[in-house]
Amino acid sequence: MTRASHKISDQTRNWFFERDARAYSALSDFSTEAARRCGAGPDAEDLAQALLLDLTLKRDAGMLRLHSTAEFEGYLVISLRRRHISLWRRHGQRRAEGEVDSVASAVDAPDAALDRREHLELYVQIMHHALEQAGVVAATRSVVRRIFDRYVLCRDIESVLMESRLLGPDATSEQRVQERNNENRRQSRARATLTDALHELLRATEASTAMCWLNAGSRRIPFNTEDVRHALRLAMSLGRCEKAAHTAPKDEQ
Amino acid sequence: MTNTDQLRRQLGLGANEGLELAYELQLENSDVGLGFAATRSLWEELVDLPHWQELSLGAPVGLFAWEEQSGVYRLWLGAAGELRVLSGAWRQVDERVWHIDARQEEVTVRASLDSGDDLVLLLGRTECQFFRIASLVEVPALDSLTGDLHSETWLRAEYQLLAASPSVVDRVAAVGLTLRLWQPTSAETRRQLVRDTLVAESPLLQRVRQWAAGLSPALCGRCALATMEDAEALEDVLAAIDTVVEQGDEAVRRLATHIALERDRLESIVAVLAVRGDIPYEQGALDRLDEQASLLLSQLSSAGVEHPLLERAGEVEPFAWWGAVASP
Repeated sequence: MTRASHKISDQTRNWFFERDARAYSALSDFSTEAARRCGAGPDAEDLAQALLLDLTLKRDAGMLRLHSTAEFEGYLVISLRRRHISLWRRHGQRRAEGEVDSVASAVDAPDAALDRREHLELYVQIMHHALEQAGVVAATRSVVRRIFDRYVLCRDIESVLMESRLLGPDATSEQRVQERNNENRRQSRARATLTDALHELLRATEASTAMCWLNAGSRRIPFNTEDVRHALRLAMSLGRCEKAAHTAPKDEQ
Repeated sequence: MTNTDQLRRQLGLGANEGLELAYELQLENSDVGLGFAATRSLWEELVDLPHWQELSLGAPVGLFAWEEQSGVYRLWLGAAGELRVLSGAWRQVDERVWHIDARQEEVTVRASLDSGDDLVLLLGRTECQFFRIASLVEVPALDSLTGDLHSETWLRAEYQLLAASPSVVDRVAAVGLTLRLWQPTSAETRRQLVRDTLVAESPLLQRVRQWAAGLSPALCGRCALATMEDAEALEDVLAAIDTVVEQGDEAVRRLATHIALERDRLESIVAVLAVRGDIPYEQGALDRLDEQASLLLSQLSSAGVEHPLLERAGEVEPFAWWGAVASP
């Protein structure tokens, strides 16, 4: 895959809105590559095709209002990230319901990397659970969510800040630096709170002989001491590879 | 108050006639004038003491409540048509004005207007409800819209719920929901459809367009109006989220889910109107709602909303707040 597929050109966007078939291969390449950067494995192409299907239907129905190429690109990237996360959420739900065998179906477009991601999702849930148990305030939990966006999903800090409305799209370079620094300080404090909460949860889990459960919306998911240790290790690693996380696409690291 | 089923029976509505609650209000219980009302007949008092408070129903029938005593109303027919009081105590004052006494029992009023509007007012001592009667549109089966391709279980359930609703607007929303959020579950079918839609319009869109073309302009006008009214009502619900915080996380989660699903339903109505080329004339109400929601985005996002419909909305409309609240 070439570097060109990391960007969408104005020409590609115009072709797409003009219903010119030349847009297809460029958008398909870009979306497949973007899905890979989100962490998708063999199902990256399917995620991209599903996105293109939605995109063409919305365009033809007059429901697609994207005013610039950057907005168009943002639409594709956020949509792909959500699709990828939905995929492993569904997988996690089936696992919690004891339907592990049914995961490898055509419906889910199984990803070879799902096992790893499935555990990752559990550890993220455990982190949320630990914060909840420790009674951590919502503001800190929001910062932790941004830490996951940044380090688990390898997203650029500025795009995460913009999505959270902590940084405006028109911010000057000085304001961007200032906000990045503020966010780094907030994330540093939140990481300390997170590891404290996980240490506390680990102690409670080690002391208990009963099965541990966490609530994920309407579901209850079992976990054990070993899972908490992994979650703690993951939490302590978040932020260590900051530079790598947002200066190069994942497949090039 | 009389429930909708009882009211449908009382009105003798057929299976293809919908009864939509358009507005309801609660009034204060007041008995200030009870003493002197007993000395003369109520109807005489009402002719002499016109202290009326106008109640805004957003209907072409004017409704006024007697300030002295709860359950006494004055009705004014402001448009050409016929007004009939179907049950309860009433007096006709002149050709266009009626006095209603709903202190002891509810009064049911039906107004059939020359404009085609068919309205029902249910007046109680401290409650008023205003309904619209509408011919229900026939909604196609989901499989006929999707060309017999498989649909996700959650979409099928949501579609059936909306398509069977006694509200015309909900039925329109069912089709809009499918247009916005349906995708074949098979990866191979998706690939094939992408190839097809490069050179031709999606078959789903063609079917929706054809169905939507059969909707009357009056019905589409009502859909646009209902979208505006529901958006305004949702804005009030959204403002209440701060007060619900005291009731705990679960209450906040339920409310946030309700708000997000309702907003998504409005988007489905707009989608059908957009396919017809009718731009909702009150898109401003939706914009205001979205603006208010964006201010509360972090609160809504941390409420723990989980719903497959909203997750899918988050994929298809990544900049929409109601999808974002259910997506990481």
